Amino acid sequence: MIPAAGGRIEVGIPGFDELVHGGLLRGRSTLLAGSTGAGKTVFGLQFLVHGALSGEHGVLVTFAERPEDLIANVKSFGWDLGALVRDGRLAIVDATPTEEMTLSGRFDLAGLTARISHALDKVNGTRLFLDPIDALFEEFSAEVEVRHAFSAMLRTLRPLGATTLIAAERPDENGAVTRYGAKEFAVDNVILLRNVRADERRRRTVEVLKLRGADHHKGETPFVIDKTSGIEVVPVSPIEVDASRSTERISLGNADLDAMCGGGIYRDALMMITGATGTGKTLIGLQFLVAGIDAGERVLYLSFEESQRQLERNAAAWGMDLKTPERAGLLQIVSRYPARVGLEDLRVELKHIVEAFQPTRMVLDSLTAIEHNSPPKAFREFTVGLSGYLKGSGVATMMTTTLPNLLGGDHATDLHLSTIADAILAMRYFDIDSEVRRAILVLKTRGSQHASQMHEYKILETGMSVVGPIKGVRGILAGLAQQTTSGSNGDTRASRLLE
Amino acid sequence: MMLRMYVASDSAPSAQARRQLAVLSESLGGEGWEIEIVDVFEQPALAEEDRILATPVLIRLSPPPRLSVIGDFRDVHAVANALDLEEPAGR
Repeated sequence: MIPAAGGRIEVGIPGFDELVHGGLLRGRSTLLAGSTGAGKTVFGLQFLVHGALSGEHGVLVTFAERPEDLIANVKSFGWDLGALVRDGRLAIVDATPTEEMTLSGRFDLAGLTARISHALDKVNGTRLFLDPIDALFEEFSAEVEVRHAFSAMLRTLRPLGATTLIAAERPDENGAVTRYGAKEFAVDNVILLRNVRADERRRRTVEVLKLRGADHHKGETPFVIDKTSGIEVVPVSPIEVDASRSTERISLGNADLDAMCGGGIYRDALMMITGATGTGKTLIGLQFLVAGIDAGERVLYLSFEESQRQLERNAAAWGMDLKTPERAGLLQIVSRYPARVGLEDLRVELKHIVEAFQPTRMVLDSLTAIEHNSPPKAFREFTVGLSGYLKGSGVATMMTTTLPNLLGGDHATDLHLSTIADAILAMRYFDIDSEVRRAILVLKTRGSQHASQMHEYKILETGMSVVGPIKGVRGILAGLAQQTTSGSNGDTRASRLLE
Repeated sequence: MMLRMYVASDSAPSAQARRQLAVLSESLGGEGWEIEIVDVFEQPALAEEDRILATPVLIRLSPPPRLSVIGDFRDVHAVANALDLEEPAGR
């Protein structure tokens, strides 16, 4: 067999191939290093399964786990290794220890070499995964000899042209790449999988250390192991999708609000709703979704604060029936407690929910609940990444943030999110003459850049009711409401704060 | 007694192991045992069945339990001992 000349081979891990600009170099060897539980086996098997299903057959050499155990362990990812073996798309070489053996003099690994090359031949394999080689070193006490024998084996296999992943245990997260050095393995690339705990959360990252003669993304990139689909790398910077922005406008479910937005919002808009607790953010979100349901659209409510039943009760109090559209399949409510999962996991889960349900509108209530107990960097990656994904998918989205103070005030989250959002709905309490009233302002960041006038609104039993423009009061957004004698309208000074 | 030795056609340890096997069989005498020599590159399927990793390797297939010695057998007595082969008294 002549090795394929150049080119790249798609690993089949979402997000990873983009990281290495299309995949691993065909016919080359890559060391896959990581501590116990870092995800090496899942990574390697995903590489094999993806190949097997797309016509690039492979060979798995397992040194530590028995084939039957491996087959059982990865069933939950939807990978049927047994069927792939029966179909001749995959061969498994069982290199786990057999009987007790005695060592006497020099040896090589020709037995294993012959078996691997035979297996590659049998399935016409172009992918090879050795998992993990440490077990081989533990089995033979002669480390130097195993190292020589192993590198001789790789040299013998190389002309067969299989793209090879070699998993090796990393003794600790900050030390050497492997126990046995990396040079001997004569690999072209090293993929480092990390699994660290930071701020009570697990954070997994992947880093490509060396890619001989090829371009790749530098630095660590988070990834998750999804219980049902395997590894997914979560790019830190969103892929900008700006191709065909919609010009169709949809209703927010409230005629006055629609008018304030200039006739509804764009069909693919991302809106931020900011306000203190009790200003009516959830209500605006529900009205927005009900408008979609009334138009026969599928809508999604992601709740990070209230349970599904609480939300249904609140909606019922405003005269909105959520159960009927839920039964009809028009509404899906997903309630999560974000403290329990890592932000990368959450982002991938949300993506899967959106992909499965295909909503045209969604509400995420609230980002603040997600922000609690999250490292700032991880939270920023989460919001930027999620927003980028949602914009690309064209779902009209409302995300709420809860302001810490009852009166006014801007908030760091709002400032960084305001650059992402197409529009911001700022909802504020203000007090004039010992009376607390509510005000709403629409700040558009797409299309016309200036803000609408500040309007007073009330929350009634029937929902939200806009009273009309507020005149003669300024400083509402900043929480410093003052009556003006001139009666100037608008709130341009304060609105500049949020832009 | 059934023995099987796996070798790699072109390797130095395998050549050495063949020579040492001749020494061993001489000291054991011809009675009561059989040996089959297999080249892993010629019969990889058989190597797969026996789950061979390293070569050369000498395996006692019967009587049970299966025992094996890996290496070029530089010490034939140690090899005989490991496989529980009965050497004639006096050596």
